[in-house]
Amino acid sequence: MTWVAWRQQRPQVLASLAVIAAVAGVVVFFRFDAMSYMRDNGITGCLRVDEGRCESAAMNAFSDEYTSYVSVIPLVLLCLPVLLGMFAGAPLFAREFEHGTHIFTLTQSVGRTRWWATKSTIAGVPVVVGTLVLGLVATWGLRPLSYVAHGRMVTPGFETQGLVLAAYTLVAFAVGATAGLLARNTVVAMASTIGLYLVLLVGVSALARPHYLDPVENRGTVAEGAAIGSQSGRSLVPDDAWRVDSSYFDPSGQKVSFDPSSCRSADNSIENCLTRQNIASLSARFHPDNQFWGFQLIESVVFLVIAAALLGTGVWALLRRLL
Amino acid sequence: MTTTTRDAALEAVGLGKRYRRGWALRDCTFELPTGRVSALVGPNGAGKSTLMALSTGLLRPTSGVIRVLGKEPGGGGTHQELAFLAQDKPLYRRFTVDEVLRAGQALNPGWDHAYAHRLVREAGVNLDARVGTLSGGQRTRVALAVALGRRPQLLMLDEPLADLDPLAREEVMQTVMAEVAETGMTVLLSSHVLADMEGVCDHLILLAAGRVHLVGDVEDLIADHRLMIGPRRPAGHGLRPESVVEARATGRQETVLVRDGGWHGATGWELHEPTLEELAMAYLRSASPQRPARTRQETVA
Repeated sequence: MTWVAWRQQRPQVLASLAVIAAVAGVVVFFRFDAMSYMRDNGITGCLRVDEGRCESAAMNAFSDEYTSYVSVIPLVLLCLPVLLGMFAGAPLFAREFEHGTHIFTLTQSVGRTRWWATKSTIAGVPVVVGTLVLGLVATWGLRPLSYVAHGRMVTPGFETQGLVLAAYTLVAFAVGATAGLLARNTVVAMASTIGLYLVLLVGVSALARPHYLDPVENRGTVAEGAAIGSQSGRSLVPDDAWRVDSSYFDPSGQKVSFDPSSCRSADNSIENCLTRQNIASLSARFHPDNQFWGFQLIESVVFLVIAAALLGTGVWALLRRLL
Repeated sequence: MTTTTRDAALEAVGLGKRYRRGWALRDCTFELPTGRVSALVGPNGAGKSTLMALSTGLLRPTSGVIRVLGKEPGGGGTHQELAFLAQDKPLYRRFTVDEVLRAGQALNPGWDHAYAHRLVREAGVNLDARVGTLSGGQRTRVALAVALGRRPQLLMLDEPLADLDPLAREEVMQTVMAEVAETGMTVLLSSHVLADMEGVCDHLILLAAGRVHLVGDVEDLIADHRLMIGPRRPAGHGLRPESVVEARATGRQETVLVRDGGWHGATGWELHEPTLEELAMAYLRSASPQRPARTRQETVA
């Protein structure tokens, strides 16, 4: 069965691996390109702006140089799992039903569970392992560009590095394969893959992800806090962190609300506007960069569970009814 | 009727299969003894393909049991001794013929590779040709080689000759019959072209509207029936209604198919042994929806 499944899936598997390798090649190229730029401009190893060598002007020039690459590559990486799911997963069973070839295989001495398991393994494992490698390559390749990408805790950096790329691919593949088993139509299976993948990705990132680990809280005076986002390197929230929320306090320590829309141009700065609204100190909660691997691990487990449920549904459907 | 004690190659008891649109097969009880070449005859939609899918395990019965060589089909693949050739001969279109045979080898423990290769060579099919480029006849020959390469005890062919030219039909039947002569394999062959079956089949299963109407060895069935031809009478044929399978008036003549010795004592008729085609056609016409279905079973006990 293994040989038959491989012979059937060979074009898709090789094409998928070629695409993954091409994207990985681009990521590797830009890592070396960025490294040499940083060396030429004396900012080697700078991940954020600081008062020393990594001064603001040089870092901003670096950012301008690579901003188009850093905005395009995550989109490519984000589309990859769903594309692999559509082309490796959706036709896997749907095309067999469309051509009636499942009748050929299942009327040999091969049980349907083995048929399902072998085909799924041959088609699924290469793309999942491929995207796992790609995710790790992307983590490594985008590291020097961390400042340009605003870190790897926020979208789309988080989704396109580390382990989750492989977990998303597995889910997209499972959606495609199972939809193909249920709908028995490649186009329907492909459409389901896009639809369900987007729902799962957005749903998990909005509902579950903020709660994986407790955020870190930083408190500071208005003068310190106003530096948030000014990229001066002194802010309450590191610029590669994922900011959760902010709270504002009056001089007596009471929590108050802040209305940014009432800031006037006469205030000149956010600092003046805060002071005028009687705000003395503020705090911010955020997920720092060192939570990256923890978040990656938890999100991967979440998607592994989803994938297992989807694949289980496929097996159930396969055993319940056929032909 | 002769009594045989041979095992059944295929046995159905109260077998039924319901799809969403209704029953495709209902209350089927019959036995196909080993060593027979049986014609599974019925109009389109009679349940022939459903019966074969139930035998291979592709479908599960809604009611009743089907046994292939004594074993109920399960989820573990088709019975190793049963080979099935589906109606549209599904093969992987992008495989070469050689790869199709290799797939047969990979998917079947008892595979006879040399034999399958010989069958394909005899059919004059190029081993390097892709399946998608083969003609209907060549494709049937390759699919048949895969089916026979399993060295089955029971071969099921669903409309194997449907899209073949007369020469290819003859060649396919010759291949099958050569294997039958050599190994004594049982064959169940479905078709709605009765002429293909005449002289080849020694057993008949007649399905109509999801029910079995006639089962038995052709010899016995013919011995049990007579075609009576006589002048048309205004008062009808005057025969016992329960023994009349079908009566047809053509012009001034009347043709009646009678069973179970119903012809004894009738005078003024010309008696003929019916051909397999005449027999089957009479049953198929009598089972058509305009007339109440008659359940008739001739099992070889």
